[in-house]
Amino acid sequence: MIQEEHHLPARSRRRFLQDLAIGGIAGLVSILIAGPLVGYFFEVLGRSSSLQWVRVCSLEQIDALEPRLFRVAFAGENSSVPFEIVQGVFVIRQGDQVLAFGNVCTHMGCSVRWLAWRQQILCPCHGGIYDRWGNLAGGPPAESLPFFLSRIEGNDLFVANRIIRRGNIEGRV
Amino acid sequence: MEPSFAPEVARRFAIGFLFVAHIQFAALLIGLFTLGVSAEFFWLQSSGNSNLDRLARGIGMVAAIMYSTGAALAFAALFFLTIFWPTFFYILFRANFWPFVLEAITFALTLLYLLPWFFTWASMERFKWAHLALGSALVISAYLQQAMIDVVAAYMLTPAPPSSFLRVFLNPTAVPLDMHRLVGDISFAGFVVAGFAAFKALRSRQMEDRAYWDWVGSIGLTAGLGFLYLQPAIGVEYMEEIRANSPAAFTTMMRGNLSWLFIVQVAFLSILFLLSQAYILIQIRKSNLPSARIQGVLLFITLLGSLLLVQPFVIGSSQAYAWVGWVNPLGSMQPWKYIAMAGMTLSAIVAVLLFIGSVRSGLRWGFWGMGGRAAQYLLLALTIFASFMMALMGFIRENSRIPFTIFNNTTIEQPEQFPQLMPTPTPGGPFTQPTPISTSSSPNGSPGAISSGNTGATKLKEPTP
Amino acid sequence: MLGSVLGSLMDGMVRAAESAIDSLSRALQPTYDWLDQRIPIRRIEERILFDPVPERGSWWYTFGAAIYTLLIVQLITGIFLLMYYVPSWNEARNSILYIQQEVFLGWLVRGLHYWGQVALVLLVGVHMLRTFFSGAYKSPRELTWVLGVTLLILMVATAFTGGCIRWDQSGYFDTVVGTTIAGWTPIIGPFLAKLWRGGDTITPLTLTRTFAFHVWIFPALLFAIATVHVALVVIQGQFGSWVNYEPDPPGTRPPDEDERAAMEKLKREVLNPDSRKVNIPSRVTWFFPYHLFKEGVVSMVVFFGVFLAAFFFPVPVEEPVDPTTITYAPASMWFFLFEDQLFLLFPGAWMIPAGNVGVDTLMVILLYLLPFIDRSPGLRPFQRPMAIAFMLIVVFSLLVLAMLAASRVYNYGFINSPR
Repeated sequence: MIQEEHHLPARSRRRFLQDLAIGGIAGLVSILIAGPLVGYFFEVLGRSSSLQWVRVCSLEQIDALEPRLFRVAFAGENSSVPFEIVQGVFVIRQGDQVLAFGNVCTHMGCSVRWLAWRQQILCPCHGGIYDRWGNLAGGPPAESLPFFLSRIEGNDLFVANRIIRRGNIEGRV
Repeated sequence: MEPSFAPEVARRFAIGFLFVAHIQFAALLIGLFTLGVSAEFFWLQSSGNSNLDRLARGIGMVAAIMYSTGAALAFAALFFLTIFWPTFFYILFRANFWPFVLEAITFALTLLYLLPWFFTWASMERFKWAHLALGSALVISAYLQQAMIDVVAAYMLTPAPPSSFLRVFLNPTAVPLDMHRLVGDISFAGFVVAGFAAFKALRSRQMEDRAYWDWVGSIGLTAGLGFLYLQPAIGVEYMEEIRANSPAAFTTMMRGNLSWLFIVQVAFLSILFLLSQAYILIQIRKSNLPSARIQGVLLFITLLGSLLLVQPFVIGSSQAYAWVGWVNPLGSMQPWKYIAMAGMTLSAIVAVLLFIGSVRSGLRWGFWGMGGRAAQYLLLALTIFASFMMALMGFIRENSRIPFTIFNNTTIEQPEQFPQLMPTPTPGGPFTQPTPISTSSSPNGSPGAISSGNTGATKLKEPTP
Repeated sequence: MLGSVLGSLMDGMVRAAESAIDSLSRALQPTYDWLDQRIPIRRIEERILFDPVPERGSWWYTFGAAIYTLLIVQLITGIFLLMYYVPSWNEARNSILYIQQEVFLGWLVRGLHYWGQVALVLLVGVHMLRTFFSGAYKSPRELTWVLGVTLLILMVATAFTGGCIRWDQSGYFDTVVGTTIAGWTPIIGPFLAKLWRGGDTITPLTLTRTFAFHVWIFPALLFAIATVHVALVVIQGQFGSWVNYEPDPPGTRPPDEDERAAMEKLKREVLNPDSRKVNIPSRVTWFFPYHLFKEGVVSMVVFFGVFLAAFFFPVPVEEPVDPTTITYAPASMWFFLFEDQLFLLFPGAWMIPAGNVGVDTLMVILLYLLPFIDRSPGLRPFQRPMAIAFMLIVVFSLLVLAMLAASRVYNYGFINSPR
């Protein structure tokens, strides 16, 4: 088969202006389409939830030896339908303080549980181990269980929908 | 109490010695079956490298001869179990009745396949595919037999309440032990084949003979290192299961009385990795190939990893989380030992792959048989260290559950403490699930706290179970 | 006597069938010509249906067609599931229960979709292994391989997101773990996780986004790329494997009329400078009907297997979502079991991103670059022992890791019971 020669139009001012116009229009259309879409998709990065306080339990229900798991529900925001964010809170006394920490393993996010027979909090997914105060004691996780922002009002314990990361404890093997 | 017409030490020693000896043979045999059948398979594929057939036959002969020794040791061990530990053995047998039965059946099958496999080698020349099928049946029944006995061995360390028929076979450490032994059998057999070949190479007088045994040694080592790289990963999983299900045994092994022995164990493992890669380096150097430099780098990485791996965490004494003595921060499991193991594993994989690539032309690679004797001595040392390592592993694992014979249930002192034995047969047959054993943790006692079942979610019509 | 009667009966039937087909063809000829004037049907027929394909090892070439068939099954069952499924935080599980219990044969459609996914991922693995083993990723087929790896990733992503949108306990925790892993990516991790979750915690936006990915984005990409992948195979010819060039074993019948004609056509095509076919295997035949028949058989068998599985093993619906559970132990999807084991093997703040994200990314990059790394001209396994050994090592390791993870997941229940 004979290869056809492709003729380019000769360079001229008119040609240059034409190219510029096409490029400009194409660019403008792309930005007009893509801009909103990109913004639409990425807008979640800018959203955050407002601070909410929820009652967990009364102070009599908090033990010093065994962390107790309570369920709290925060009102969900940034959604067209009303929904609840349900989270688990472990509460335990340590000396004269009350600790409130989450039940979400810091490894891959599974829900941990207190096992009385081994006196440890264990994650069923990959065997992460925490002690009764939520400090990391073994396994793949990198951090101890994060605290909930909490306060005591009267005889009740309240937590907010903010977590405070705890990092690793000193000297963990 | 068990009838004590012999001192306890002697009774424990008898069982320990016999089983360690048995395992040396058994692991070697299963590995040899695998290697022999694989060699025969590759011979069929490679259109004419008759040395592979010679190797396969040699392995077959050794396996056939050695089988009776391994079996005799097992029978002797069983004999002494019934004499010295009758109550314990009765419990063990009752708890693991079906695994024992299946193990006996697969034992018979293995024997049934082994002898024809070896003895019809010549007469089935023209039906090589049928012979290969026979060999494959042999390998499968041998691994099934091992799987059955692994159930029993795992049961002693992590007994699981048999809430269903299947759970009797799949207690927590049964599968990790299976995998550990699958990889270990082939690796150990590879090292033994390599050591035997080294011995023959050192003694041979003709160049052709030396070349053949040198080549066999490299094949053995490729199998040895080529399956050893998975052991650290499988070992970690095995340990995790022990920690989850028998935490006191874990503490003994990793933080307590036996933890120093574990350091010795990883030292052996590191030596295996190092000597294997040193062997590969020496062999490649014979031909002045450029990949020798890469092998040198890989050996250096393995050396660094080994030095990191054998670091003890505490020089002193340690029980669970309390340690007394000097703490060596480099000895912590996370991240240093994990980094060391990851580095050594990767290094071993790359070393084996490059080795295979460099000597791809098989026996036609002109450098077999040449060079000094250092490589052969390395192979002999590897065989000895591999053998030691297996014996030590058995010792550590079995002693980690002292004073229990069946962990958390039956002790040496009081063997009458029965664990939960077989589930009662249900009308649907052995494979139906009876009601599972209640798994509630201790009740919390305070209203509103979550104990089992109090989820409070609204349900649509629940799916029929 | 009976034999000759039957023989003549058979001959009669064949002749009758042939004459029926002839008259049907004659009747349809004007329609065919009318269409051919407007669409190049004849050329398409010549190019695709009457394409020479290799004869040796041809059964191994049928997995791609089985995969495409299963993809279509997934698409159709998915469309029907879409008619009832609601991607809402409160309604998702209820709608699935409705499909499972109330809709006529809903459990079967859902079962086909689930077991179809199992079969798909399995077949993709088998197909990939076959291609690797045959050496069919070598020049000039590198692009086909690269597209194939992309398809593998898309397939796994589709299967995973499909599991997530069940929004029962297993779906919820799949989503949790998925978003957490995304969050562990170095540097961009937290942004990726927040983007997927639609916030700082799992929200209804997570479900709708995952749903969008599973139902539209991934399948659209899958079909588009799969079509290009198949087109490349047709353009370059299915001659990538060393098996195609093996000589016939003794006793094979000599090539018949169709096979000779196909060989002639192939030789003409190879000489044609416009064609991308460059190899001539030892024996060829027409794609239609011979190879298409084999592909049909394998696709049918696979679909039949999926149907039987869906019939006898209906897919369960797990408990409703409960992040405060103390009894449920999440298990990863079956094709990610090896990955689950890797999570256990790379612990701690440094190793989780390095090990999990790093190792996975490295594996994917190696897969992509395979045709450019393995440039040896030899196709036969013994000519590239390093590649074959690498494949065996990877497959063996993945199997062992998956078995360890499966045993661990199976035994989690014992952790809960008091000792």
